[in-house]
Amino acid sequence: MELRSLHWRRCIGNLFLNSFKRVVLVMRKDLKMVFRSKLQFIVLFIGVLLPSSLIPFLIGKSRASYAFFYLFQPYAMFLPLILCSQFFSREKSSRTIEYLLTLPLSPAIIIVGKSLSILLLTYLYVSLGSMVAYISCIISGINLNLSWEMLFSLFLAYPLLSFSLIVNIGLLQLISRNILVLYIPAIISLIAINFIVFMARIMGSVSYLTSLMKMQFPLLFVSLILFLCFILAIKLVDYERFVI
Amino acid sequence: MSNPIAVFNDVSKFYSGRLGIDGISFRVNYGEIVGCIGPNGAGKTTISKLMAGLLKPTRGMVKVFSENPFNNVNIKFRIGLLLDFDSMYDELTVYDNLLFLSRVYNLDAGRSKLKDLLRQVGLENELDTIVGKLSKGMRRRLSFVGALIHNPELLILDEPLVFLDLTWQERIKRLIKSLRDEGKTIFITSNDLVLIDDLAEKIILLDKGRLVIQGVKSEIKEMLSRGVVKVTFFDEENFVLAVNAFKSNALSFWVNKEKLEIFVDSHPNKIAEILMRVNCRFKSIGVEESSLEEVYRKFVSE
Repeated sequence: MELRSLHWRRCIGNLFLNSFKRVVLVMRKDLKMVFRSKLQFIVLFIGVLLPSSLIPFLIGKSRASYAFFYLFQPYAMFLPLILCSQFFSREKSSRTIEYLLTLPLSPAIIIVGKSLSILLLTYLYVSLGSMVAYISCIISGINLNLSWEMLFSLFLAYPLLSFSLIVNIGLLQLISRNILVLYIPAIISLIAINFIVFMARIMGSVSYLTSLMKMQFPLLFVSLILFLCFILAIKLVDYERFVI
Repeated sequence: MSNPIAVFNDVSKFYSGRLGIDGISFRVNYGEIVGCIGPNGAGKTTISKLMAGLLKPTRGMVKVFSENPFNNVNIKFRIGLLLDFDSMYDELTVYDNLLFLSRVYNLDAGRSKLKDLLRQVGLENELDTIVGKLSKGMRRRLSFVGALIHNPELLILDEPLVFLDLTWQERIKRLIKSLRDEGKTIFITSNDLVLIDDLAEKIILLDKGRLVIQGVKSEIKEMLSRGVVKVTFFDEENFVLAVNAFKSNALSFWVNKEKLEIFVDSHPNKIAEILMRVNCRFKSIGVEESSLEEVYRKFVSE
């Protein structure tokens, strides 16, 4: 009996490890493709590093930490959604998704691999931007007073929500040829965030910003629900729509 | 009966109501080269994709290695598919593309091993070139290597010679023949009748999504043969002698003087008898088979 359970545990362990290795393969391939393009470095500099370094010069000392949050919250939330079009829609329009499906990679592994590479890029952008902003503030003599809530939101709650959104959106973009699908993520995320803020205000939070920061747990809950939706969808979806 | 590697049983595929293929049944046996021909939109690529498990049949049953290939990851280790378009990633180098593939197939392929593979298609010096900078023909050859990298048992080639120049068409044909000699099963779909005539042992002819004729190539050709006998001669003297003999026997014939060939509308035994009677020496005599092009034209609607 014990041997059998050990055997099953090993099987499940191997299956998980094998799937994880394949997810990493897809991620590495996608990230390699991103960093081969010089445009990516221009975006990183103009879109992230430059505004981050200007934080202390653009706003007063008292509002520096808010500015910090305001700058990176959209990155954490919307950058993944923009990258989605590059990683999923392009793969569909160039028909390389067909090529990927001819390989021994399941659709779920392809989608999770791509979503994780988007998330990793987002983390890279937000982390680099945060570091530059932080150093810039220290040099300018501004104490940022970053709260744990703020860091938790930026580096865990929002990215997790993004990941859950990305996997669903990725799936949607791979089964649809309609370019309007690209706008769906932005609409969903705007509605989700405003709903959360609305709920926070009802519960007594004073400002939009504090509402956003105080809602990490609802965000995590929404992320979990969205991820479960993906698991369900991956079982139900007709994969030949990736090809047709 | 040989063991089938792929079986299509009354398979139909519709794309949102539009016909792809309808009621197709055939088998591909181990070690065979099967050629699938037909005009544009006949359903050749649909069959390739169904066999590779990219599409699911609307009706009927597809079995590859006795399993349903649709969304079956394990079967893909045993299938090599060359799609009808360039499938490699343009942004990555040749090496990165092949490294990704080798890792997906759990292979331990180092740089030198990949270089050896590329040597087969003359791309050994392009290992660090970005795929987007390669010519279309080179990319096609690279895709060919991609389909072969994991040494698959079943190779599905969709238009394998497209974009290739004459030299490389010949080399790839030789490569396909050597793969057949190694015991691989090869399914080729193409509009290039010369390619299919050269390589395939079995033929599947499609038109408007329906199977028109299938079977062993030589049997199909024999079935449709025109009953014309081709006689080839060693020299012009015997050629002229034969022409006069056929004229005096009132046979209908036509000649190819350059190749010293005469085509006679009669039975081979009767022709041999006439030629022996006039002491005419000939190189060969045999019933002229219909070409694949003639088979194609006979069955495919305009």
